Amino acid sequence: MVSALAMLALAAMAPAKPAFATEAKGDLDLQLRLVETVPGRGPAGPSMTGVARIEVLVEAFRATGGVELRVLRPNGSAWTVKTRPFTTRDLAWSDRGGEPLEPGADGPSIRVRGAIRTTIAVPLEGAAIHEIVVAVTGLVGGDPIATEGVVRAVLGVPDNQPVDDGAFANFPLQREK
Amino acid sequence: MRRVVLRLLGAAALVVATIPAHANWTASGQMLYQHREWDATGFTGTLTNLPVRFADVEVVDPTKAGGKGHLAWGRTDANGNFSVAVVDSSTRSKVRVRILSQTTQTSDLFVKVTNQSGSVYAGNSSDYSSHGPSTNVNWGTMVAQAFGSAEAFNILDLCVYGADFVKAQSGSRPSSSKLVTFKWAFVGGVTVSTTSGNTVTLRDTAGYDDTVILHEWSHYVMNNYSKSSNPGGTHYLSDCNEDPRLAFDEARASFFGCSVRRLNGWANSNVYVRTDGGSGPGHALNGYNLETPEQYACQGDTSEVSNSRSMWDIGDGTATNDGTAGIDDTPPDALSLPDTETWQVFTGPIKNATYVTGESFWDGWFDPTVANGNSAAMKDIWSSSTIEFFQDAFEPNNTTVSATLLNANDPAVHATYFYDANGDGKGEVDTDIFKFNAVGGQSYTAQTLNLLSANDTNLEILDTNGTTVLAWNDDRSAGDKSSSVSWTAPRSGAFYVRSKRASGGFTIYGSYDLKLSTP
Repeated sequence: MVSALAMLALAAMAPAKPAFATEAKGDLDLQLRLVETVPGRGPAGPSMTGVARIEVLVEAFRATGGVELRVLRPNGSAWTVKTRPFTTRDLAWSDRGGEPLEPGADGPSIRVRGAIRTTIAVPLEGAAIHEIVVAVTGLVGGDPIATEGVVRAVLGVPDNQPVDDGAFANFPLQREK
Repeated sequence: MRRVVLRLLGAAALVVATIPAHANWTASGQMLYQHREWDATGFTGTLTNLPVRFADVEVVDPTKAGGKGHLAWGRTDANGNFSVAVVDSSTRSKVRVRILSQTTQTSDLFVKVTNQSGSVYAGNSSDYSSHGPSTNVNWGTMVAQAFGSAEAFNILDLCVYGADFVKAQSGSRPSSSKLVTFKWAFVGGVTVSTTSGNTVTLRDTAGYDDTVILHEWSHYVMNNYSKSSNPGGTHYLSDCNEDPRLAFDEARASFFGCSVRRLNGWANSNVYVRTDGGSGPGHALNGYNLETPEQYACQGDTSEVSNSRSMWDIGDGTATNDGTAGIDDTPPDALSLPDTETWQVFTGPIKNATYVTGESFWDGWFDPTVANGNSAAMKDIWSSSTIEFFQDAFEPNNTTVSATLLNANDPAVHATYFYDANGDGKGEVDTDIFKFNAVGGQSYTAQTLNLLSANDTNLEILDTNGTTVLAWNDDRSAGDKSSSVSWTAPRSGAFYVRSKRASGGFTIYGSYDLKLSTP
């Protein structure tokens, strides 16, 4: 089931045949898609845990080497698991067409106007709407380059999003304090 | 007699029908949305409450399903206030108002914001319980919150400002046939914004990317009022060699969107910025300043950044709210013209262009139907990005009689394919002819270098008679549209290099260097 979802996500993120212009990209561009949020085996509640599986697509305008991913919180601090920084290791990268890539000594590289993709599993701690920042860095001709993206994973709490009744996407208004 | 009675009855019925209905009660309040303030570095961390302007207000009985619960329609005003007269003599257990992200209750405004399923956003008030038939209800000031719902009203508000910008140019807001629909959801699965026809599909994280919203909205405007030849697809701000059709259309969208902000005097109107939508300060991904030529510096009209800067500078002046008040930013120029000048180019001559590119804008500017003039200032502005839609120093060298003398091994000469026979600023197809005195038995190489603005050269060596082609070259190599032709003079005498645009492509102008050399 998970792999089927992942395949669907991959298909959805595959660059579509251009019918109209898309947003202008920077030299390094990142697209993230939350594939699923899987609750852990522990009890529900404030201390519940889980995993967010995120599809990552990195595109580059110039040849970019030494690509690395880091997972951060919105304030720029490291993502932690049991107070230890979480790192993405041994990621399986593939090219735009899905062919597996052999990582170089300094990590995967992206050719000119190329793209690579992977899926990361980010551990979640606590029932909350988790805002996950994925930062990607690389080297272009020896110069560092970076960008980031954000996804939100909902674990064990209402998602606070409008409720679609088929005609309207309803949400409550707050009285001004 | 019967006919007379029927007519009288009919007239009486008409009078009754046209008497304004008596309202039993009034629903009132104010609707605001949270706006995330931003600058060139991303979000500032400040949330500001702004009025939801000209949005539909519906008074409903939430205990009734679907349309049966509808009680009255109204709309918010420019300050987000609403006062809706409700004709309803029933006592109801609950009544509420909901503010919709659409503008059907404003006769000349056609904007809709939906989620990806097509459902309009509806901000619901609290319920007023046990409502009597003549009890007025004021819901006070209500606020749509960021990160999920307020974004819909931010998009709506920018579209309203956009509609008023169009009105400032054309005299009226876009009509009902030009209804614009923005599809956006906080969790909608959309990672890249696009526009097709009158529908904008906005990236999930772009709900507060005001310049992206206005950029996409500008594509919609141009789809309706102008013409686009944009082939679409992925493109990069760094790319100095974009397809000229894409480069112009994307530039126009950024320029036009920022012009909405400039007309309203908003801060950072000169900045286009994308964010990742993350909470808290910062989160800018990329963007550019339309007044800073160093950033994403390119030469020629095959850069969306260069094109947008050139158009922006036409209207940029000391009054622009760009953080440098009192200064007409680089390049300083004599122009600070109203947006109507560019608007009439977009909506006039550009529509007749075969391929819409930067050349179309230039020619449209000087087209007799527009005749915007200001030739010297326009040259100054465009030259700052080495966009040279004007004659080079050697014109008219279109014939062997008027050919420019070229000496072998002199420094390369800089030339343009642009001829303006009547001097009106609008160009024509150009052929440049250079004369050189060859020595019999000597080999010569003529080549074009440093092509700009999607140029594609073709070189020919002509015999002394000026017509016989002795050697020629179109593309130097696959993927390189410059030309290089080597030839050995059969005798001493005058020969010619004829330089012209190769056939095909989407443009007719372009810059290049020409060099004649011997081994």
